[in-house]
Amino acid sequence: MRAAVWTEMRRPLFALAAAVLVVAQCWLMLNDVAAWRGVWPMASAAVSAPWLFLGPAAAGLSAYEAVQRTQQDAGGCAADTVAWRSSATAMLVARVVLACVVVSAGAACAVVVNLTGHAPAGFLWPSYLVVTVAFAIGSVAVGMALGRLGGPLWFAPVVAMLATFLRAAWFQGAAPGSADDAFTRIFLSGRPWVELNPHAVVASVVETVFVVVLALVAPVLATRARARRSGCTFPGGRGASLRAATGAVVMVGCAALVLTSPPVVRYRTAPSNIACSDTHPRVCVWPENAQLLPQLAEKAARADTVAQTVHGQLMTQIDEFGLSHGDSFLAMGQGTWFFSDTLAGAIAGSLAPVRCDPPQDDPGLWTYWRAQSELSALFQLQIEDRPRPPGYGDSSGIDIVEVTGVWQASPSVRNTWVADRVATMEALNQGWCG
Amino acid sequence: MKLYLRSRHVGVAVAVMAGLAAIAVAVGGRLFTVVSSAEPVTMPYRHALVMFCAVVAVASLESPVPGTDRADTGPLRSARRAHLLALLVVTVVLSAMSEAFAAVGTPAQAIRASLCWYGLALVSATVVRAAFAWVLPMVALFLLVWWGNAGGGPAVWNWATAAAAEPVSWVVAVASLALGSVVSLLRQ
Repeated sequence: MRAAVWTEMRRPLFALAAAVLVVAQCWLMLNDVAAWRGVWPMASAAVSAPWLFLGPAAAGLSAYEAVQRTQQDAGGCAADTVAWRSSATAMLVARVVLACVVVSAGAACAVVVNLTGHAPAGFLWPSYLVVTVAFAIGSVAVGMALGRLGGPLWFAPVVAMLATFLRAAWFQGAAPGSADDAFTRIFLSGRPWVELNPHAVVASVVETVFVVVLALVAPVLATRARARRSGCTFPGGRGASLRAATGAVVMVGCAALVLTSPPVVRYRTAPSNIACSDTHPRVCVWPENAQLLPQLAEKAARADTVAQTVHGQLMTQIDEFGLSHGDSFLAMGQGTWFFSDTLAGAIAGSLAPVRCDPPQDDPGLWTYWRAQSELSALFQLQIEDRPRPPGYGDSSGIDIVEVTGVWQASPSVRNTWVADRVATMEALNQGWCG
Repeated sequence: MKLYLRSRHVGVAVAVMAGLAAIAVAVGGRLFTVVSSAEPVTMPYRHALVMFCAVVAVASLESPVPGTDRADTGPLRSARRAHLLALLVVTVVLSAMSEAFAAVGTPAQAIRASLCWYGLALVSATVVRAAFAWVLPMVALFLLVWWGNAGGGPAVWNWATAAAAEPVSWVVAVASLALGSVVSLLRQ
């Protein structure tokens, strides 16, 4: 068997596929490196994300080779069961090795980047890698299964690719804990406040076992049926039937386990060793995001200065999402814009807070929230000390060009602009609450 | 011609394409999420299904006996052209109908996307081989996700999601189909 696997691995198409997939895995990861560098769970998920594209490609390639081989075998009519099965198993094993090599290359890429990117102590999270390897093996096995079933030369590669793509994409973006989340296999991000449920990780492995058994059993049954129809001999007798029946039972068991598996992603409980700054406000982050703390602390200190300048107030402590039920922010990769948005919103909200419950249909409400949003945007620019990046999402409808102009203007112009909006908000407040 | 159609399993291809169109209607506006340079990007499934529809159409060109095909002196060539043209029409009609029935987009967008995906699939089928018609569209799908959005909306050249009246996207789609046709004709 080892010789057969080695022969499979030396085929030119196999070597080419391995090289292309390894390069694609690393390139796709490095294209998005700013999102995961320095954060171990994010790096672990980054190994998974390219498989949204690599999985279908691997399935298509695997199916093409399998269907070609099936047609060659069919030319010999009287197939030798043992040789046929050993060739199919060797093909499958070679493709499993291929999948593992590609994922390992991705993992190595993530480790190298993180070790050179000042990541805190830690390593890749095995749960993400296990699910990724399981999905990768499942992809090549689906290709093998469809290819070994025969049919037109074009059918298996295209359908294998389509099936793998839909399998990967259909449950993409499911909310953590939702029913759909039980079938998520590709992770676009690995935030520190979530982890993978070990039971669901086992279910992903069981799903792969299902597909691998399918790849081994279904073609045998199909070939037997075809051979019987065409009058060819396909020896195997009761042994083959028994194996097929066992395979079918295993598949039913696997399917039941997968269908009843829990959601893959779940929220973590906050650890005791969270990293906090000594600024006002005090900023605390998950240990995995500790490298963000210096720049967050710098923004927090700047926010404190802005708050004092405009006589606003800030919370005493702000935690990264998932650490507390108080004021929190989302640390997205290495960006701090969500953080500065939370701080700016707190300052703007403290300048003229609504002291009562105004009527919801009052047209003044829109004016009030617009003024507050404009102030918040200005404070955010002051905290970040740089213009908003292109594509920054803002649903408040304010004129960011005008706000950026105010931010770049002299302090006296800026103070007047702020005072105008505070006066507007205060007047509305007075009208509502007296 | 009947023998040609049977050897290519064109009926199976049309059935798969019809199935994809039905799925596109069923999923409607459902979105899937992918990552583009640290920012999540969402894309309706329908747009990916149009791509698969075009890929199936072009992949069905794959010959079961390529050696025999190479000895062709004419009849097979015209059958291939008729095959490509007929399945292009089927692709466009199915995509437009699924978009119209799904009632979430405009048929013009689906037609434009079909033309572009078909062209890309043709290039891929010619350069690699018909069974690998999906390679270039798959790469293009990635590029679309990665660079297809600018300033919170689709880029002007985005053949899948730009507004139906966006001329640049139509130029890209027609250019893709023209390139695919030329490459395919030159190779015959």
